[in-house]
Amino acid sequence: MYKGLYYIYIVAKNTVENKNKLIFQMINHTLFLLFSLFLYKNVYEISPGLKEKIPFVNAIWSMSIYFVVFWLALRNIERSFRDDIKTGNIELYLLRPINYVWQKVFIQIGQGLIPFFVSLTLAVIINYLLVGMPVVGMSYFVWFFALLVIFILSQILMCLIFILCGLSGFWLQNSEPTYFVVSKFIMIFGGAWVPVAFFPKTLQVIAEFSPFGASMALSYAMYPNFADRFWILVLNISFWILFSLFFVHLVSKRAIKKLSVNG
Amino acid sequence: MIEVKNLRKTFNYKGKEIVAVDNVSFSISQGESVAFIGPNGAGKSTTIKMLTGILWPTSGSVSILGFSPQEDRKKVVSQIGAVFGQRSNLLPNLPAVDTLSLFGVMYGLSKKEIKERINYIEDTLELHSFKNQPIRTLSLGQRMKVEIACALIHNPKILFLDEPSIGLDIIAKQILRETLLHLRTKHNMTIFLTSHDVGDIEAICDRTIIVNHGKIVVDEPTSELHKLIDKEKHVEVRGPSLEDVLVNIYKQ
Amino acid sequence: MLKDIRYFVIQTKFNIKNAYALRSAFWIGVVSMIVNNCVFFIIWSLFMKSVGDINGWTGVDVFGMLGVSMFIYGITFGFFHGVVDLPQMIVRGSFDNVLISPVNSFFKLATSSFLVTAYGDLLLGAVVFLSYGIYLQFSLYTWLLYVLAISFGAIVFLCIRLLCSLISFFIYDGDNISNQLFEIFLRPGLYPGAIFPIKLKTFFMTLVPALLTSAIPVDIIKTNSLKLLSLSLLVTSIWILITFLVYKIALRRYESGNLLR
Repeated sequence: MYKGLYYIYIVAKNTVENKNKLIFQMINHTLFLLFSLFLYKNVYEISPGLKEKIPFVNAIWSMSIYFVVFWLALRNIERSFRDDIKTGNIELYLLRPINYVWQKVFIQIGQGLIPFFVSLTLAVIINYLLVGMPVVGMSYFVWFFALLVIFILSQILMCLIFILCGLSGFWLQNSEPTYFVVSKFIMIFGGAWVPVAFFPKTLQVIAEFSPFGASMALSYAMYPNFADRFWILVLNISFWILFSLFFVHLVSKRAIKKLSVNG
Repeated sequence: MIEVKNLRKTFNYKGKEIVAVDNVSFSISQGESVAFIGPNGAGKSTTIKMLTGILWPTSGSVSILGFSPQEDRKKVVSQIGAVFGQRSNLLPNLPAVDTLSLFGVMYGLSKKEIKERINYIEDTLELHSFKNQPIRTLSLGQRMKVEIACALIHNPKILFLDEPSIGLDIIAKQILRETLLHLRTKHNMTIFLTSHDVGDIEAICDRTIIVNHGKIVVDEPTSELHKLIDKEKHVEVRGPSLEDVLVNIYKQ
Repeated sequence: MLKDIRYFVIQTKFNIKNAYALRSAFWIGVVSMIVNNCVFFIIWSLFMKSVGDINGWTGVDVFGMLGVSMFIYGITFGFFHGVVDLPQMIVRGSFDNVLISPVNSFFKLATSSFLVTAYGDLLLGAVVFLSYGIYLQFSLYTWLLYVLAISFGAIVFLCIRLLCSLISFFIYDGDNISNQLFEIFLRPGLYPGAIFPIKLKTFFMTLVPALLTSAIPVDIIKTNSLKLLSLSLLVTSIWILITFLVYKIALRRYESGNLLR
């Protein structure tokens, strides 16, 4: 536990030293939040019927939370695997006394942590000042803790999904196509550009219960019916975590063995 | 310390078996400093990867400090250090101390132990003048010193180096050689080195194993190697080599 | 100039040939990018289904716009990818190779690296934007407007990408910053043009000309507007001029010494 936290701390420290990068990332983030807010305001004015599907405030919170999670960038774990295999750097990690996959998880969290917190703060401030708090059918105090639970669970799932994507690189020549497909499914079912509430009903259900939607369940936590859906979301994400964990365990053992045999 | 018996490694490429290491056996005792050399594709890197537990041998056995690096990976990696010349363990934006601390934590050292080890390594490798500079601002030679420092943080008994001087200028090479020599003579560290640079081998290693096509072709003390081709005795009086001259000029 | 263009064509041919030597890797890259891009069609068709036609734009128009956008992206990244790599080249010092080459530095730079997946963008974009024209039964005049508008968009896109990369001549660690700036430029072009209020549309057509590379070509053919096309030409010319000047200054700065670090 301490090893992991220290690993994350040092990597985060290394990342934040590159201040120029962080500043420009956050300028990009802020401009994008303002841009999508302004654009969707216009969309809601053109199509007043959209309010029935999801209130404007909730739609904005839902989309911006997707992009906040985007900065945590756990999906990059796949690229990291790919690069390590290509460059041979995987050998350096294997020589350390911590499991390779865990090291990659710590590194990704360390790299994304500061951009995540800064972008979260910016999103909360911008959304609060410009559109107000979302309608959530429960006290904001309880909502905050419910969000925290959903956030932790969904990010564990996100991590596992992209670990599986990365591990596919041990068998496929290149894991990039797997990454493309998976990340785009998460983009659609996570409501990145268009809130899932805009989808037809059946597709909404598929999105919510798929592992892709589950890994971005935080954007569903911004919906007005979150209070009713909380336990279903938790159960759904937990199911996919267990499912993915089983596969990661199975696949990672075979992957390391494959590497040990074939170089 | 290191016992290698009938080590063999084959790879399959498009259904064809390629022998990378072929029935290699040797042993290395504590404090020995061994160069493991050979032309490209001779099987040097494959052997070092099997010695450090990265690759599993097809047949034969490896014992490092009494453990199998494949079966007892954690036990072995906690007692060896490794430096790969073309790869870096360092975090570019932070000073050396931070990477050293991270490695200390990874190897399960306490805060006090980490501090002591860092102080000790700083003194031993003379890192004081640049220890607080971000890694990206260091020269290649200084970076290599920090790489070695990382490999030493947990006080390993054996140091594996795979082409550590690759890409270094002659000053950086000089620093590297002095550092390794210091570790060998003052700390009785066992060193296993692969390098294409003859200067490294002459300066650091007292024994040389030459491999070709996966087999050991020579295993002799480094000082005796010249006898293998010297049919007649020659007496030659030489001045300093060009490398010595350049090092001198650069240092001035 | 002719010599430079000839060099550009030959070098590009060799780049493609080189990449195609690994045939399966080439097609995996192209097909995976096509699959990746299909997502935008899904997302915006779901959006249009939910919102309905907006300001005269239908779902088909949004498809046409995405086709244009992907095609332009594919052209830039498929034929001028060196421009994207410029910040890295400066850091590595490999930009010297560009400067000592006997051909025009821009053409040399543009062809100095290659991105296979861009051909997925190019292929899908071309199929979609051509299908759009065929589906709407464009007249010859409309085709002409369409092709000109797309050409202007492609030039502007290349100019902006180059300008973002040129940042590296002026500030340390320009790689990340140039990518972030380019992303800021890129994103508005991926939204259906119809949902932009007029002021925002004007802004994204001139100061940050993202819509020139996506929605404006569709707007031009929808309204058959020669006026809008002329405006596109004007904006394109201004951006060419700005890029040309900044490029000249940047090169001089590179030549004038290592004050970058």
